[in-house]
Amino acid sequence: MGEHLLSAFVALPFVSALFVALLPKQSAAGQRFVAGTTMAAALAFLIGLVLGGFDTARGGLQFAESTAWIPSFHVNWALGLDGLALVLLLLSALIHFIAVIATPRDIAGSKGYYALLLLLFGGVNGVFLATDLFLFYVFWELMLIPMYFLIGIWGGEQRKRAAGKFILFTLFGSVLMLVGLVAVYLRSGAEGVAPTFDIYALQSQAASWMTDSGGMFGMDFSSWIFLLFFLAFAVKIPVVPFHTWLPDAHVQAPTPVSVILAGVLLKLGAYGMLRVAFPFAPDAFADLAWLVATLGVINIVYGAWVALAQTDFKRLVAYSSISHMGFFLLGMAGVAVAADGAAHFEAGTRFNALAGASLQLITHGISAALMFLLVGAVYDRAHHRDLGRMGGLGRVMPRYFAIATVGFFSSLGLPLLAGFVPEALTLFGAWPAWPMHVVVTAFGLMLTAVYLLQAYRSVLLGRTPDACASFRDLDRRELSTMVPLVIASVTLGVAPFLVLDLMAETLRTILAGLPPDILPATSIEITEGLR
Amino acid sequence: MNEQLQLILPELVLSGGLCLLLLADLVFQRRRAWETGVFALGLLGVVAYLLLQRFEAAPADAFGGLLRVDHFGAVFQLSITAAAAVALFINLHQFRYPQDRGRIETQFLFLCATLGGFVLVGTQHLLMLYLGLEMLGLCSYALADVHKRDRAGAEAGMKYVVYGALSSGIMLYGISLLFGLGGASFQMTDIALGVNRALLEGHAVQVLLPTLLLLAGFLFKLALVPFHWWAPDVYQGTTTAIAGYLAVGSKLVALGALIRTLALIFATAVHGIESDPALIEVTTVASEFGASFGLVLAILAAVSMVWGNLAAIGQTHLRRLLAYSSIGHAGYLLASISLLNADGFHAASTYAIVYGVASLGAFAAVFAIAVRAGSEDLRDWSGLGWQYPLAAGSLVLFFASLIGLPPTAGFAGKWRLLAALWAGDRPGLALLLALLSVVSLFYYFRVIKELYLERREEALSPRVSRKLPWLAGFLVVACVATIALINLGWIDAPLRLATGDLTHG
Repeated sequence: MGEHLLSAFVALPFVSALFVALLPKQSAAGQRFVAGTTMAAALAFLIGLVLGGFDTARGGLQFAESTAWIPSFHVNWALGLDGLALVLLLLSALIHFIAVIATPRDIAGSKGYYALLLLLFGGVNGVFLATDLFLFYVFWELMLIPMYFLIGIWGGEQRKRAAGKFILFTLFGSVLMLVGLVAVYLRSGAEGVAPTFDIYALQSQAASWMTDSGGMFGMDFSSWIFLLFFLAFAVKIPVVPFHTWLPDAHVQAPTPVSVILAGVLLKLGAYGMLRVAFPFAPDAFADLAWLVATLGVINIVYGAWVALAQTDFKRLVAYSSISHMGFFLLGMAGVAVAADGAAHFEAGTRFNALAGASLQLITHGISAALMFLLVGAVYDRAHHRDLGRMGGLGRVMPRYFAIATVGFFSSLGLPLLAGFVPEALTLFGAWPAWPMHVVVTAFGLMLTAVYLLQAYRSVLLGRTPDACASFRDLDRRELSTMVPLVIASVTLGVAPFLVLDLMAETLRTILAGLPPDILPATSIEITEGLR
Repeated sequence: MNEQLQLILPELVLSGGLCLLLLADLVFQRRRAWETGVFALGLLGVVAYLLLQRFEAAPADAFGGLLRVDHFGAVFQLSITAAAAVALFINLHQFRYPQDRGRIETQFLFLCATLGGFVLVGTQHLLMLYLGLEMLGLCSYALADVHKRDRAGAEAGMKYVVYGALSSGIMLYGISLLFGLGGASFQMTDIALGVNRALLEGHAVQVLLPTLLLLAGFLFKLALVPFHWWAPDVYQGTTTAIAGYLAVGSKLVALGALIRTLALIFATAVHGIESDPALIEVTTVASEFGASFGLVLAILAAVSMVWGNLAAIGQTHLRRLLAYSSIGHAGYLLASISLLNADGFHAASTYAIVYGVASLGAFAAVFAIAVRAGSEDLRDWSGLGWQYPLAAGSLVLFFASLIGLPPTAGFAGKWRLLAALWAGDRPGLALLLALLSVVSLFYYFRVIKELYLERREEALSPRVSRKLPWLAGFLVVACVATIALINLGWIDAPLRLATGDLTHG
């Protein structure tokens, strides 16, 4: 069992999905119980790993395992866990568990719903744990069809269009990744050795691809790889202008699915960039860091700007997701700095940028999930999401008021709540290399404050319209979905090192593989001071 | 002589069965019978078993080189056997033309066409190749034209015959020219020597012309642009049984024969011939010829890929949709063949098997839904996914395989195509293929959307209430195969060995 720990973990949701599929149609409660227990067991397992078993002092893979799967392509069933994956897995298990609880008990076609939710969970776990690129891709695509049906069957009025758009955009990214997969696989075998799909073997080879001139259409090989993988993951994050699927998908998806989409799935794109796109093409990444930074700032400002104009509560939160994911890109651009910036630039800054970008994934996962739950709670009562027809909910729903305050201000980046630390770290990390970008970002932060406070006012404060006067306050089920997220948000705001410590060694390992190649241990890191 | 007969045992058994089937027509004194259907299916089972024995034996020539018995041929012969079995079974259930259900003539024609397919893919002799092609073709014309009273059916049958006759005439002319080039021999190996000599002397045009003429017959069978016009009408105008048979069985054997021909005659010519010391050296003319011929194939492939996938988008009739998608898939196959190297041939033959499984499954699943819904128009299929979970669920899986999504075999197959194209220095074609997969998602998911996302007000009162246990069994088997085949290693050995034998490139 010991050496196949991760395999068992990845297999668990798939087995549960099969089990749910075999349960009788009528036993909605039983299906719900199986799904919930699976997520809870996964969460408990991961917490167990954090408390003992996982060695935070090591940056490399732990519990690694590898078995030949498709020998003719040199594909292995290879899994491994490191700090970054562990943190993201924790987030994913928590969010999926909450999504099961947030699902109405009387959902129609519950059997298919819970089975798909479990398949999705299994796919996500697989992506985070796969250390074989082919396997990574298989799990990546495995998430596509469950999500399509979850949006398309249980979504709102425009669900068919939204689901179609989601799958088209995502597959577009996927096929680019597939071409990239072919290119790196063949390139890895070009020097007379057996080609490989091992992500880490490919990463260490990537340095020798830098000098490779064997490109096509006037671009060198490294740029090709970067472009293919960057575009593939950009769709998922999503990076403007590949974002248009997201507002539709979010608005049409049922609340639990929106929660998963914002809380987990967007992070996969970022994870792919960290694991694959950047380390596979360090050279092109350094050359094109300006583009990454600029796209990041466009995401931040554009997302906030469009959010400002929304009257639909859920759409507003969706655009705020786009805006927040921009910080990840800006942070990553701070890691790979242009050559002329290297003089007044220290490795500690790079670490801050990377830590900020990675932490942003977690904190945004938590606050976005909370925001979508808040939207869902209002929608269940009002049956519309029009901000103009709401107001004064703070008076009728005191518990909602308290939780929403945490949610809004965490999203806004108030100190002592989760949103603040990663954004601050990112800005510190990006400043030496991209001062102008940071200045523009500050403008975006102002916009963020404006649209969030506006929404806050129009939902919670002011006169209560008659239609809203009879709203009941949050019930036990709703509280049980939101309170864990509130706790997580406050905890991460006060003690971000809880998560940072888990990731730190892994991030240093990642950093060592990215340009410019400076050892990060030589200078002071802000994150040390956060303790 | 006895050994020779032993070699072609599957063909002999099939021929014997055919004669018995004709006799049965007289004995039963009626137009159709379940018993003969069961007999035909059993016969195919025996033939499949005998074909499996071919993997145990070493490749051999039979009847002085008229037939070639090897693993490569056996793979494709097995695939057309499977297609024929599925077609026969669907034919026993089919509803659209009740007068054709289980008709002995139809069963005879299916088996006869299969025998033609066996010859087509199991020979290295151009005249035998032509005979096989015509035997398969003539039976197919008769099959496709079963419904002459129906206007669409008659038009489809007519188109099929006219196009078929035209392309086979062109092909025959190409064969006659190659016969001259090869020093009055129909053997592919002799022709390869002749072609190589001609190239050595700088006569590239004399080689290119018959090559392109020869191609016509194959393009027609594979439904590739510009010989694709018949496919949508014929697929739509006949029954699902015949459409599935043409899309999978007939297409796969033609592909196998095309690969064999190109590998033996032209790839060897382009890459040099080891057996003849004078010709082992690759001349510039030869490589120029290879490059320009490869380019012609690549362009045809690209046009077919784009055409098939774009034209499929607007289709609402399921079989018409599958027809256009199969044009696109044939384009993918030709793209890989256009590399004219062992990798390309291998990738194409692997993908052909993967496509065959998924496509046959898709036709069977479409039939299973259509036979109950009483319509093959996807607009009538709203919400049926919930009513027929097995048929609709497996259709999703087959479509995923055709799109190339993991964890299905289609993904591994597409991966191999892309790898071959990328390694063969055709990255543009690889990118086009990848992007067209996204386009194909449009029309495949339109069906899935209709099945699952649309809601149906009242439950459909089924036209046919009876269960289809055999079809269900086949769907389950095909689903398992579609997932299991993601490990292409299982079919690699016979295909690799065979294509490796054929080429030096």
